[in-house]
Amino acid sequence: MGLLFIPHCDSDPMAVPECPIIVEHLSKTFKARRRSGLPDKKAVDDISFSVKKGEIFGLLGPNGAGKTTTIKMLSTLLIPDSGTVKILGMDVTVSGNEKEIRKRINLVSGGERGLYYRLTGRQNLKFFSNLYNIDKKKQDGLIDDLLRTVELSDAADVRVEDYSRGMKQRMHIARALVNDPEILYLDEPTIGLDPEIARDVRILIRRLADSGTTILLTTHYMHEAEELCGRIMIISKGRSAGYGTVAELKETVRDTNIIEIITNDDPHHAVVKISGDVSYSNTERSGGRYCTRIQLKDKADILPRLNTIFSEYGIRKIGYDEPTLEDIYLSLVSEDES
Amino acid sequence: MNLKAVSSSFKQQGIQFLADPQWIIPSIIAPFLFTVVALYMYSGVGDIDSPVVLTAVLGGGVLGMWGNMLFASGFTITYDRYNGTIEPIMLTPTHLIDVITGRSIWNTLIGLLNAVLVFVSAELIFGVGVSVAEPLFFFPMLIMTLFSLASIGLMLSALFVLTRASFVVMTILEFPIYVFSGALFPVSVLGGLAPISYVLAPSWGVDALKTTAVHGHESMTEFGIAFSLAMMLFLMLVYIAAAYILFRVIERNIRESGTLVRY
Amino acid sequence: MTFFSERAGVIKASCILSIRDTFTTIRPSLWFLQLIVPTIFAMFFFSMIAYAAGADQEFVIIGNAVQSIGMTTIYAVSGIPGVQKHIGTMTPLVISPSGLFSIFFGMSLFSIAAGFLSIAFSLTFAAFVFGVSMASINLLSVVIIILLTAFSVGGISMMIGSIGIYMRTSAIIANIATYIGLVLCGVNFPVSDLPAWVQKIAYCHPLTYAVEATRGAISGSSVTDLAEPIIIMIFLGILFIILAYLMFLFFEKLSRKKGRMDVF
Repeated sequence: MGLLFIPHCDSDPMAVPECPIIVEHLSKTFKARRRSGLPDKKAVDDISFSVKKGEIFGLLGPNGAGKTTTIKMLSTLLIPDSGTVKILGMDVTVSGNEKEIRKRINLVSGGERGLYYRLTGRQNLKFFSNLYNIDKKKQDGLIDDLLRTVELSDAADVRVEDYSRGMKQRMHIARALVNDPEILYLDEPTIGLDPEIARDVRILIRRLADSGTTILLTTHYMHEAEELCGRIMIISKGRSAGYGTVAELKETVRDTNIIEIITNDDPHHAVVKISGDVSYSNTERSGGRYCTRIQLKDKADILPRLNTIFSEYGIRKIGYDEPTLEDIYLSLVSEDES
Repeated sequence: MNLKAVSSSFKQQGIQFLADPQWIIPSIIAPFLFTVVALYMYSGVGDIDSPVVLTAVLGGGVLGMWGNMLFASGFTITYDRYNGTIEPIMLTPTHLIDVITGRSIWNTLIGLLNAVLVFVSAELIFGVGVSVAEPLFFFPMLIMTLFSLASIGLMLSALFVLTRASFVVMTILEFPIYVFSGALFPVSVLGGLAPISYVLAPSWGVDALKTTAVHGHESMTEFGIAFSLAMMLFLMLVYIAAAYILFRVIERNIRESGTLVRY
Repeated sequence: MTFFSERAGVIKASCILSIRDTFTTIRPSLWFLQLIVPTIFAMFFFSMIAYAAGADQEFVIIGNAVQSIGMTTIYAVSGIPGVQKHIGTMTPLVISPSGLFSIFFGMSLFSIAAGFLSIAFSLTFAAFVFGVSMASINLLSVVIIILLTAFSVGGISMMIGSIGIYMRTSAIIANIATYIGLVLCGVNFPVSDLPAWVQKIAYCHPLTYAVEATRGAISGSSVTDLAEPIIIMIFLGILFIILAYLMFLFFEKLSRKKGRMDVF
């Protein structure tokens, strides 16, 4: 398995300014309910990585892979079972540290929950800025700035229950910026947003990183990760399945071939026929055509054979292609599942 | 303690209450109806102006305050759990108890309204006026009693953080205070169970209230109002200290088990 | 008969769902505690008032044993639509082809059965903890009366619950419905103490008959002696279920018109 481990930062305390987030051998198991008969769930299993100052780091993985659990441990909401997590040089397991860490980090979770619906946007921000003990004199100016940043100035005095989903999501981000955090965790920040608003959110994330905020992001959208993230960790079933820059990850699949076949009809049966020779395949429908991407197990040239098998589905195009992040992701995750 | 968080939570609770009074109104209903029942039962005793009836009205006020306090402290965290705001709160450097304290102070004020509601309707429906013997002592004492209930509420809200079944816990906890505070009948009728009343701060408050309001009321002890007051204050401090310790333990626990955000 | 057989499936499924839902939120032991603890305290609380007021304690204890159905059935059943709105499942339920009434009827069944249990337990406690004399009890009458109480009170609760489909104030309505019996239905003092016009309302509530008939059955009245309250309770139960059905249709339509399905 092509696992790369590049120790960008070690646990040397002198390295702290360089790496606000250092994670080593992190594990967390959730105990099953008594009498439920279910086994305990190992949510995160021996994960190590580090994030540099001002970097946007991506945590990718399928649902239930342990992304959110990891973020919760990194944001002091959950205490790890084993391993170390150092946030801004402070160990999260040491009692008392969490208060100091919390002043300097924040978290945005995707989805609609997490705001007081009966309060206006401004009242929400005011409440949270008080919980961060922000000077009363500075609050009004700060809140106006935040509202402008997320383009909600016009809706500032409207109750959150009347916000659209995109507005709520931007309000989440504003809420998470009230303490001007040095580290911002974003748990699927663009989930359920329309493409235009999602793009605005990505621009905002980029801007925050450029101004020095360290960002750890989880997402399902590969193009988003490819666009934003300097480095990425792919996790599957709580374990690391790949770690590095997009280019480095692409290196891990250098020895394999990706073939893309575009057909008129759904080539499902053909895909089943060749399943023995491929490490993974994925078919997507777009623009009335079917695009099947296949990753071969070895470099054997089976293009002519594929041509024959797929011919009855009306081949529009067939040929080798460069691996995308999505190919790598699907390959690493399916490798882990098998 | 973050005082800004306390005052902001107080305001937040106020805004939410005014936007959505239906969450708190239910808490008025049961204690109000209990008082009506008690008045009907006592009116069988005879004279509507008898001290027994007046003590029932006062006790009804205390019932009203407690119903509200329990409901509000149970609901506050449940609401955040449901609303998904518990995580953002936990994420701040402010302790959960600061937020709950601020909200409790608002709830205390609403509790006072509940008490007044009972007093007014006793006057209107039954013609039992609350003519207080010593008003100068009575009102401060009413507010003190209210805070003693709030301190129990604060302690219990720790329990509500732990459970998803907050409504069930509320239902189970509602009556013990009604019974043991001696609000609607003298603690002496409890016989062997009376000592439970002695460890409840509001029982001392109720006792002091009745002693100031009603001529000829027999105090719980022979030591008089000052003693009752001192006992109430002492027990309140014990409750608050217990609440702080409980919250510390619980916050650590939920960080270990990760069960807080389930609804 | 397809009208009934189709609905029977929905009712059964909804009933099972509500049981599962109850026991995933709370452990059976806690569920049992909340069934009996408030009732024991209520019996104790009001009997102490009775003692202090020099009234009949047994009268109050039996009354409150029957009123225990308030929490287990009236509150639970009348609150169902409000709860569904709150957890956001109202819309999927409405768009299902099953019909809201069948679903809520099914969900109510468990609470109605719980109401039967809670009165049965409370009367047992009345005998063993509070020493209410059961020497001349007519057991058959008691069982029939409790069954009919659960049935008829379930009916009125469903009717009250239907308002919650439309109104935001379902929690307030459910609370009033739960406790109003304490004043109205002769639980703690005779209905005759109430003003005349309130008495008329009291005799529209099945609980009034339930309380009176239970006291009768405990002091030895047979089923024939109690024929009148029994017939009235059956009649009221059926009447309220029909009304509940009509009100469900009405409020469902109204809230679809005004788009208030998931507003709480």
